[in-house]
This record gives sequence, structure tokens and C-alpha cells, in this order.
Amino acid sequence: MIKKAVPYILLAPLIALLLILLLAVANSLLQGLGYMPALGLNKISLDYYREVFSNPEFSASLLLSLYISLISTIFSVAIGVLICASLIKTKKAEKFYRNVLRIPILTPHIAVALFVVIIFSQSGILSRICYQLNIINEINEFPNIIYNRKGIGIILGYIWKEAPFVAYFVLSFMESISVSYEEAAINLGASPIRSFFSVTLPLSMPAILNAAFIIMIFSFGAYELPFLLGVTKPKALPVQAYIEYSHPDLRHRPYAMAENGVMILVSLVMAALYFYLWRKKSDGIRKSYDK
Amino acid sequence: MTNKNSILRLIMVFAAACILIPVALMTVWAFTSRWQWPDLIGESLSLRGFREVFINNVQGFRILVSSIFISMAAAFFATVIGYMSAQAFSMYDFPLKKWLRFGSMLPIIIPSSIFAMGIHVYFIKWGINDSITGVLAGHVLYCMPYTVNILGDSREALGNKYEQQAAMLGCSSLKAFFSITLPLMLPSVISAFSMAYIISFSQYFITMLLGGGVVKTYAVLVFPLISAGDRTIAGAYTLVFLLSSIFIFMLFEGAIKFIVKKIVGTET
Repeated sequence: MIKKAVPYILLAPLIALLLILLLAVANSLLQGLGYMPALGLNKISLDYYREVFSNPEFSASLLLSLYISLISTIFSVAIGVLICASLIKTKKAEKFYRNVLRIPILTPHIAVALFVVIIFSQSGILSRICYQLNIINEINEFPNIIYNRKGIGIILGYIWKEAPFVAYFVLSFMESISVSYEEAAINLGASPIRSFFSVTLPLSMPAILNAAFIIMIFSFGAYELPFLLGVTKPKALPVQAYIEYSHPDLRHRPYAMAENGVMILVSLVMAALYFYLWRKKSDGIRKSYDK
Repeated sequence: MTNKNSILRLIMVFAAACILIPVALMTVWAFTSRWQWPDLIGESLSLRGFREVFINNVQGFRILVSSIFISMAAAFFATVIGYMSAQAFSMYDFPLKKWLRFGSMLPIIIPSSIFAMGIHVYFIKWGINDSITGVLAGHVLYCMPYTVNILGDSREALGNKYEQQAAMLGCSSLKAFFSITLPLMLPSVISAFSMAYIISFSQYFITMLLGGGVVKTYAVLVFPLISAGDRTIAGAYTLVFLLSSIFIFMLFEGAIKFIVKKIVGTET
């Protein structure tokens, strides 16, 4: 009997923390449905969701967040995998590069925002270089790369931070495949490029998917970079929700929570998609082994 | 073949440049007094930014130190909880295992801002808003997925054959833990700890909302300076931020190397 309880005792603190998280989620969902007894709001309805969705500003925010998350993930994964593959192939000075790759992982997002500003803003270093090369004559001629509606500054910041994360995350996995299966394929006559694309890359997919999933959900829901590098309109969803949340009139809170509810839903859909792909992938690998 | 390798090497050089140039530029900014557009080089060297961080702002240095302590504490709790969970997941079978394992990943799925806004009311009700307890709870929750993962993997890899052997030779399980399992797990424990430290140290939203301006960390202090316009000061604060993370990370890294060497040394 006692033995059966051991894992639960070990997991007690984890369970306690998870309960706090679930409480936060449940509270967000309930308040988003208009249930705030403290304010005399006792009716549960989808009114706030309906109102939020009929607001064009919200749709713009949602689309912006989805777009930022998708584009930064695609670029980070592609660049990260490229860096990872190059790192495995170039054995020379490998230690130096490994250490350099760690820097973005250690760098807080707040610092990344500053990097983007000092390089890409209208008074940034790129603009100065353009002036010295006579490409532009005035500060205003330099395109507004960061504070624009396309969120390019935010995306650049995410790529700088997450591409090395992908490389680092996938590295040990890909390395072990590279030394075993890829070498075998090359010995059997496959070209190095072919063996990379048809052996190493597919077999590394579980690790790549894992990294992609983490950064996709993170860049969808994170607050710092969109706040520091975003424009006033449209705002990324987390920024918009917090503005609504900190509104002095507490009756605005259900709107904030409805927006958070949408974010929870999108994040869960992303997670479900990941598990679906992951299972399909690992099933596929298992099947090819069984053959 | 050599041609292809040189392309790959070029990619690495380019990637390293992309990573290092922003850091270098920020460092230059931090040491520059004035640097007007369109000059490519700042007017003169100055320590104005660092005077601001360490001398003029009375709070600056104090917040940095207390921030390091808060993150150390968060990393400690996250690592202990991570270890306990890893032990449960890798050594036992129980009905809710799959669900709890999924649950340990939930903080990756639910954005931290949503957690903070959702729990804020309850923390006020429980009297732990604007307190270190509340901030720590949030930090530990968001470090936990990583510690559970790192420690779970290596706990599973280690297995319990050494412990069984020790038990067969008459060793108590407590002693086996402290003289066999823990030393062998120590490298992963330290890397879980340093990962958690980094996550906690760069956490902004949770600290801002649940700390309510009373519990200040370095991230909260630096945040408004980024868009304030004075890049010398922003650069100096951020450089100190980055260097302190790197310094502490290297400290952990050194500890791992030392321990691995020592364990290998005692085995042979």
C-alpha cells in the first residue's frame, strides 16, 4: 500500500504547481465566459467571445500573433537545422562554434529587443552604413523595419534567439544519426547530400518537431518582444490582452480573459497538432524498422 | 568534397558573425558617451552607463544581487521538484503517469502571461501577491518542464541497477542515494539547475505582474530602459544582465566538468 503511494508522494510538489496552473487557466476561462461573482456578473455566456471576435482590432491582433509565430518558427527551424548540419560536418573549431551558439540561448528576450533596435531602427547601425555609402541622405529615408505592421523586428529577434536553440536542441540527436546511419548510407554509395536529406533529416524529425513546437507556442504567446518592438496597431495578442487586463474598469476584465481564452485554445490546438505529427512520425519510424 | 565543406564552414562563420555582432555593438554602445546619427563611430569613450548602473542608481546593484538570489532559489526548487518527478516517472508505474507527464509539459503550452493574469486574483486572496513567495511559485512552475525533462532523461538512462547492487551488498537506500545515485546524476542535476536559473533570470511578465513592483528583478528594472531612448544606459544595463548570466552559466559548466573528472577519477 505504502509502496503504491511512493510515486504520488514524489510527485506531490509537481501536482501542487500544476493545480495552481490549472486554477489560473480555469479562472481565465470562467472570467472570459463572463463569470465574475465579485462584480455581480453571474451569467455564463459566450457574449464576450462574440464581442471580441466581432472587433476588427482583435482579428488583426490574432492574425499578427499567428503570423509572427509561424514565420519565426519556419525560419528558425530552417536556419537552425542548417547550422546544426554544418556544425556536425565542420569538425574544425567546433568547440568555439558550440560556445557561440550558446550565447543566444543565454540571452534574455529583453536584450534581444535592444539588439534589434541598435541594428535595424532608423538610427541604427544599418541606417548609418547606408548613409555613409550614400544610399540614403536623411534618417527618414531609411525604411522603418522594426516598428511596422509586419512585425519584422519581432521576427528578426525571434530568429536570432531561436535558430541557435533549434541547432543546439537537435545537435546531439542528429550527431548520433550522422555517425551511424548517414555514414552507412554513404558507404553504400549515396552522395553526402542525398544521404543527409533522405536519412539524417527524416530520422532527426522527432527532435526537430519538438524544437519547432516549443518555439511556435512560445513566439505565439510571449509578451516581451511584441511589446518592445511592436507598433501601436495592431498589437500582438498577449500585449492587447494585458492592456485590456490592466484597464482601471474591472468590467473590462472578461474581454482580456476571452482574448486569453482564444490564446489558450490556439496553443492547445498547436499542441494537439504536435502530438499528432509526433505520433505519426514515430509510428512511421517504427514501421520502417519493423520492415 | 572540400568545396562542400568550405561552404558549410562559411555558413558557420556567417552564423557566428550574426550572433556576435549585435553583442559587440551593444558593448560599444555601453561604453560610448554620445553616438549621433550618422556617425559610424561614437564620439568618445565613457563610463557614464556603468556609473548609472552601479553608482547613481542606488537600487541597480542591489536588485542585480537580489535577482541572482531569487533565480538561484527558483532554480533550486525547480531542480528538486524536477528530480523527485523524474524519479517517480522513471522508476515507478502508476495509473496517472501518462497524464502527469503531459501535465509537466503544460507550462510550455500555456503562455506565462496567461498564467500570471489568471492566478493574480487568487494570489491576492491568499496574500502572496507582491511577495517573493508568489513570484517564486510562478518562476518554479515555468522552469519545471525543463528540469523534469533533463533529469527524467538521465534518470531513465541511469536505471536502478547500481542501487540494486548496493542494496544486495547491504547498503541502506538512503546511503545508496547519497553515495551512488546522486553523484552519478550530479552533472544532469547541475545542467537542469543552470537551465532553470537562466529561465528564471530572464523572466519578465510573471515578476512584473505577480511581484507588483515590490519584488523587483533585474529583468523588470531593464525592461523600460530598452525603449527609453538612451542607448548608452540601456546598453550598460543589458551588458551587465548578459554578462552575469554568462558568468553564472560558466560557473555551473566548470562545476560539471570538475565533477565528471572527479567521478571518472575515483572509478579508475
